[in-house]
Amino acid sequence: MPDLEVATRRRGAVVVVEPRGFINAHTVHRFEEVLNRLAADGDARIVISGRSLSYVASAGFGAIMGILEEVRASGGDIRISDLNATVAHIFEVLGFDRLCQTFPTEAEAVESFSTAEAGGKSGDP
Amino acid sequence: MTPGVSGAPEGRALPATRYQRLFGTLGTSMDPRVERRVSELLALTDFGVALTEPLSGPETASLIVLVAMGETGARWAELLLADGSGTFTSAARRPTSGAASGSSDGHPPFRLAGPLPEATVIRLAGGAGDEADAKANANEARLGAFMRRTGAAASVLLRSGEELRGILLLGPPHPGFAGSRSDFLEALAVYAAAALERCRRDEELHATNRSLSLNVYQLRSLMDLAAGLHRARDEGAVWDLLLNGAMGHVLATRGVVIAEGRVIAARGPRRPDEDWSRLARTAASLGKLSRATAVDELADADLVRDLEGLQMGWTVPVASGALRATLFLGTAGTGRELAEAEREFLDSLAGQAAAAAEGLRLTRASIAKEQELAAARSIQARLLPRESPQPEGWDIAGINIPCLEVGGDAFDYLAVDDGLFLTIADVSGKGAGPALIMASVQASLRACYGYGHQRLDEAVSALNDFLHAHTEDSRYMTGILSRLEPANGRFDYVNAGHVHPVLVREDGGVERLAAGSTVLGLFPRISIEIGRLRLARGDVLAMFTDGLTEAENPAGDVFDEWRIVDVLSRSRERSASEICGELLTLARAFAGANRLHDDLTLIVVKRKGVLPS
Repeated sequence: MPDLEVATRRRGAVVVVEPRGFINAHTVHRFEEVLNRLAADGDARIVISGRSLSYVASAGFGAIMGILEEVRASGGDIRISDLNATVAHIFEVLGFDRLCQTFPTEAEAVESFSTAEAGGKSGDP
Repeated sequence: MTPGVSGAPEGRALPATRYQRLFGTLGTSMDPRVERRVSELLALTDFGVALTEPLSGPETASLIVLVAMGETGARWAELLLADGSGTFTSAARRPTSGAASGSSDGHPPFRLAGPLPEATVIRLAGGAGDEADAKANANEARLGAFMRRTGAAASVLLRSGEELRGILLLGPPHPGFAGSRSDFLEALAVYAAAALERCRRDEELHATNRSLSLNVYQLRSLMDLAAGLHRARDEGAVWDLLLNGAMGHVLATRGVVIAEGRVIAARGPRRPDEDWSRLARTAASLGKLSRATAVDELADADLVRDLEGLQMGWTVPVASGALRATLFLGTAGTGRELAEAEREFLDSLAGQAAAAAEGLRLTRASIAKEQELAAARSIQARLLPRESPQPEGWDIAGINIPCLEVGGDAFDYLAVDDGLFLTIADVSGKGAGPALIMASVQASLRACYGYGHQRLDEAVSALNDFLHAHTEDSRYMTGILSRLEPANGRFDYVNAGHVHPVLVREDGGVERLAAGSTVLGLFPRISIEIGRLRLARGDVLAMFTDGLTEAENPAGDVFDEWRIVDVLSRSRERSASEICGELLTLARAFAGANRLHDDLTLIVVKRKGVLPS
């Protein structure tokens, strides 16, 4: 059983990325590969669901940071949902929650893209 | 009259609620002055209970403002909090309208410096009365001026010990309200200051916890990255991890690694090529930084401008051994300054990545070198005679054992007319260099002997000239160049600074072959003497390099010549090849754990009992 599997699914114009397991130096390339592919394919609205995410080490944040500017430049964003307490604490300690919006549920995170759009808003919150 | 509790979550003011109910039933029958006092007491009790709950800073500030307004009937109330440098800014205000900017009615933050007013409650005495406060200190006067500007009727100083934590400003009362009593406001000030003090401590604790959590997380990440770097199979993986780890830790959206004047890894938005070239040039002019440095800390203003133009906020040296690279990072995404611990994280990560990359480079270089040496060895092995000539009545054998993949020893035979040239030689040094020289020596000697220079002294002289002209100053060769006439046993030789060959005669006599010259290649002209002797039936001659005589055992003794003489004497009935084998076996056994640390080459020439007819 690998330490990390990364599932993706489409919800309308939003792609939900669900990493399952640990994102660390050993597994980050799998996570990064998925994110880079999305960015390259022009999928700019991305929700990262933390439902099955046990831990993120620095390297994992690096993978997100690496595509964040590009995604925002093309009018999209990366939003986060369903973090467990451990991961939410890491996000807070590192200040990542100030950089990317977090939502309690995947549905709310996905929905946030359409409300932002309705308000004529996109990109950086 | 106690709306103050509305700031507290439902159900938090339970003990006070009982008194409020009681008050509600008694209220109408009480003396209005008593009623007022009871109401104030209830508000304070209620406030005190609410403050035992874990309220956040903003919740506490709102509660203080609401309680004050509720009991004093002020049209508005505002709480200003100290920021630690004597500046007070708005933390809460009711009504909130017009307070969105954080300083109500647009008033700027208020500053105090020096000794505080002694009173807790300060009022403006209706218009001209402020001159009555002529004795008040300068801060009181400033506070008075501030109150006039904001339209406050009273201000309450919230002290904790000697520290002024906040100032509660109260607007004038609504018509019909008597206004606030100082003793109530003084009591409120005690509660409020204690509450603010607790918030401050909570915030400190929170900051400490956050910093501890960050340190723990940082250490875990560093260990995780170190393990990843250790496992990396190629440099690309090393740079990927460096970028991911560094960008993830400081939350930077850009990262670039520059080495040898070019970009070797990059993350973040795609950049035009000229940006990369600019970064590479900038890296070159950075000079030697010893640690992670913020771009705005750099001394060179041009560099700072360039790097800021490229949206780079940090530069981190990545160095190990011969490897020199620079990691550039975008500014931290959260806009926060990096703490010392985070710089250490970057330096430590960069150091580990550099060591990992250097390790990979060294391994690659060493594999390449091994492959080169293996190729050189195979060429050298092909240059050595595959088999020894066996003129009738003679038994000849030779071996060459290089201690590295390739060595500077060689031996060769060449039959020309009625003579057989035997050569054993040792070029100083080890490895590919001496091996190449030896290959040239072999080729030159063969050409020399084959094209007329059959005189040994001429061949030696030509070889000396060649080596002197074409090798570095310290390089030299020793060797035995000899010519045997198998038909009659005549043996001429030149010992060019080489370890003396040993000849054991049939009768057991031992001779050492010392005639010759100095080593070859060091001096432009050398004097050469040709040694001449005749090998008779039953004689055994061994020529060898110092790899044999200098074989050393763990006790530090060397493989003396008498051991060689002993083998030649004992084993003269055995074949030349067997004698070679026995000498090699003995030398190896003698060196034991030391192993042979030099090339070892050996030729054994044995004249059998029957001469050719």
